[in-house]
Amino acid sequence: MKKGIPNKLKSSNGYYYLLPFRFERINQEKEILINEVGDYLICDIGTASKIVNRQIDVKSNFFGELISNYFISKEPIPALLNLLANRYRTKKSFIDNFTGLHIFVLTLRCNHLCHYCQVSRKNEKNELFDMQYENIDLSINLMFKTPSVAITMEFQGGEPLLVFNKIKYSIERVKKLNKIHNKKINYVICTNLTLVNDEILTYCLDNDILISTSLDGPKNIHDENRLRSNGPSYESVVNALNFAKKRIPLDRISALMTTTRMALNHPKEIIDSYIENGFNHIFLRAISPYGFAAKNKNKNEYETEKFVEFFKIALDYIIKLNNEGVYFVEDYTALILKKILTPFPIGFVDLQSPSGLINGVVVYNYDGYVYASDEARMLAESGDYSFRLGKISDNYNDLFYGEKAKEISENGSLEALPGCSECAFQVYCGADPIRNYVSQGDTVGYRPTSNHCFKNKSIISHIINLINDGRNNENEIFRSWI
Amino acid sequence: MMVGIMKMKYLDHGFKIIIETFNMIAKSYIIGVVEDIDLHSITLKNKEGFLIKIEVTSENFVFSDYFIRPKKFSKLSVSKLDIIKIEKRGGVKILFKHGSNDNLLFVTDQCNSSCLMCSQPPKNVDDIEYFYKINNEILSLIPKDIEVIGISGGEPTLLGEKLNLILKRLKLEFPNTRVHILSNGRKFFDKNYVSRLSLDINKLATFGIPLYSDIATIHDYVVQAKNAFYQTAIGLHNAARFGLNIEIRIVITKLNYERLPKLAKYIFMNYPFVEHVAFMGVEYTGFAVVNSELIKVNPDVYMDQLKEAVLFLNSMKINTSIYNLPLCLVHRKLWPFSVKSISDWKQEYSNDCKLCEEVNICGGFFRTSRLKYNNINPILEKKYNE
Repeated sequence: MKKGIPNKLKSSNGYYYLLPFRFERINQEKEILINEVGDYLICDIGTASKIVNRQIDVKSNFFGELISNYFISKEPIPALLNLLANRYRTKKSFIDNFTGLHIFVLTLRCNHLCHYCQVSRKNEKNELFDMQYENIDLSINLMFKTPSVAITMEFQGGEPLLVFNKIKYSIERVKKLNKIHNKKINYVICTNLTLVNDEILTYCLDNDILISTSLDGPKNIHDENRLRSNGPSYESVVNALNFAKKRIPLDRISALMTTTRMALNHPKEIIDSYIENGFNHIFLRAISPYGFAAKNKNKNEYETEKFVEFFKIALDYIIKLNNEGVYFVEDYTALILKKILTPFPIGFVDLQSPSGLINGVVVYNYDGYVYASDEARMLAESGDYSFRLGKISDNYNDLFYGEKAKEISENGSLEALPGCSECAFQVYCGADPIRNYVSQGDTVGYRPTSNHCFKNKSIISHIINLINDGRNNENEIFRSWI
Repeated sequence: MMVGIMKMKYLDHGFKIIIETFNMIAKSYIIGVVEDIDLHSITLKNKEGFLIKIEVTSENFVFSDYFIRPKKFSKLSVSKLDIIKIEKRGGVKILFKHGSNDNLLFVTDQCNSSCLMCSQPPKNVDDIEYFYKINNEILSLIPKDIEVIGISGGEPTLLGEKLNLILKRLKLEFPNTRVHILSNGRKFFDKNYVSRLSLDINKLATFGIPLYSDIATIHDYVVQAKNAFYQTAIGLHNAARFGLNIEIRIVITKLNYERLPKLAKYIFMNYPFVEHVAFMGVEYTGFAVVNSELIKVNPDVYMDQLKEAVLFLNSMKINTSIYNLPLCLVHRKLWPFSVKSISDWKQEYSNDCKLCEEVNICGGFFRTSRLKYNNINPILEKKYNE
């Protein structure tokens, strides 16, 4: 070789091997190829077939791109197998820490009468539905047994502020015990806010507690859904919100909405009401078929297609707002985007495989039992105890690794579920055995008629089309969300 | 303690200079810190603390940058506290510029790659021992509190154990100094090598490693070495696994500019642990001149791709910079990423630059570059907010 004069390097010829990847048509012209770790290539329709039939020109850049992105390999064992393994380990690293979210239902009592209440709340006077101090202590002991270094302790209800003294008791106890355990603990209180006062807010501020509240949109929608025993609740929630905002930073307060049949027609109004109230994000959440929501079908049952339409209109509107300079995030999209656009996992229990049940979340219920998830305890209120792991007084190993836990995890991996194992969007989606059980009769479920599957596939596919199209700066906006 | 005075004489036949020494250990060169300097003499303190005075005996000759030259050509840039090397034949080399953040230990001219745009073409010479000795002398002489020092070649990992020894010495004697090592990272393919290196290295050290394309064959062609892409790719993961800090360096040429956005995505998806990504203009010297037909591309041709790549990495919160490009050739949106990266002794500006309003924040060009940009366009209005 003459000095500095380039040599053409010999390239190996011919055959190549396939690595695991999945594909799906996303519109009339394009299909998406997605590999085992979520890297995607959007190509012309027919590309997957060409790859499989060994019709890709080995001298083309596309061939090189397929190799770098782990779709094919020149050797039976790919040269970059270790990189792929590292990537896979990273994507699945959410399992390393085991249960991170510990939900404490200290009471099922509530001062609201929402028609869609998925937890089947109880009358606000009936103290039979509060957790006993003894069980609080035992639950905290179980929580500290988790191998996870970072944990979230979330207080749900009912309305947990009805038993603020028990919240305070729990947190003070956790703080003391944590001197030995040294975990990083986040606290969240899920509340309708109507009971907040100075003392509560000061305590939240001092302990860096995140407040998560419910706001269903503007007054007419919110009041249709969320009533108090003495009338509508919108005014009192907004007043409480303004009161709270004066005392705690806004980034420590977030709100959730639930999409009812009425809400479906008002996506823009709902988003506007969030902006009016100072929020820069919203979680567009379909109703779940539990508790009163399953009973009051006239207000809460709708076709999933309608929700998807609602979601798309809302997302378009949010993108338009972002283009006008209003930074505003749709949280569910942001979670999916993080799975599509980054090599990292997310800590959201509904979009994981293995599913977030026990692996990601567990519920210590007022009734003295431990449940595999929030939905599991919702089911229990309807008399179905299928996902109850055992008593709070039981041993940690029996609860978290016992027969029930094994049974639940059996159908908790998309990789092994019919209809999911070959789905292109598998890496972006999550397993939900309880949802399968509730809507289709068993934890395996049946994808062709699953609303949950339809909803996720439609939303993921829509997001991918927006990324591919990108004509309204979707890519820049999406990246600013993750 | 003064141990000796060396006299340098200019002999009439050619530019040959001989050094007359007395009381000096016979050596082909002397390295020391400049204690005192004037046009005709330099006093150095060597690592044993001895003072050595070197005088030029002929009135017509003075010390200059690189050589003892006839007076009229001279421009002395050696200053007090610099570390210089004076060779027997009169060559003067600045090894360490006092107060500069651009000092480096040059460790070898050998390299196992042969990049088409290499500005410092590798030489197949047995020089490792020679530079190792010099670098150890430098390390004995420089202040212990210097902020940053580079290690470059050639390919430093070809030093084998000697690189570990240099790094170990830096770690022990210069615990607060940031060490920046330019390596092609191919040797990191060997996990055990990386593991050992990680034990010897200062936590503040960074490896600057080139990755020219997301496509193996393109990268291999640019560096003229088969399997280099795979070695570096696996090497990057090994480096991350053992906690080494990594910077990825991308020299932009005609061969890789089209895929810069894809390369940026590839880096984020596969090497999100990197602490910095630098996109670099070419210094047209060395192989870059020989291969200019093959590699030369004007910045305006690749500006769209560069913009997409840089803004993408920035939006993914990866620290990103642009080196070696004058501001007037860089899209304004990319100005915040442009760094005055050209070493001061290599930096120059054109005549047009005198008119430019932004010349103070611009890095200019390589004085050493043999091909100049033909579309320098002085910026006549400050428009920071555009």
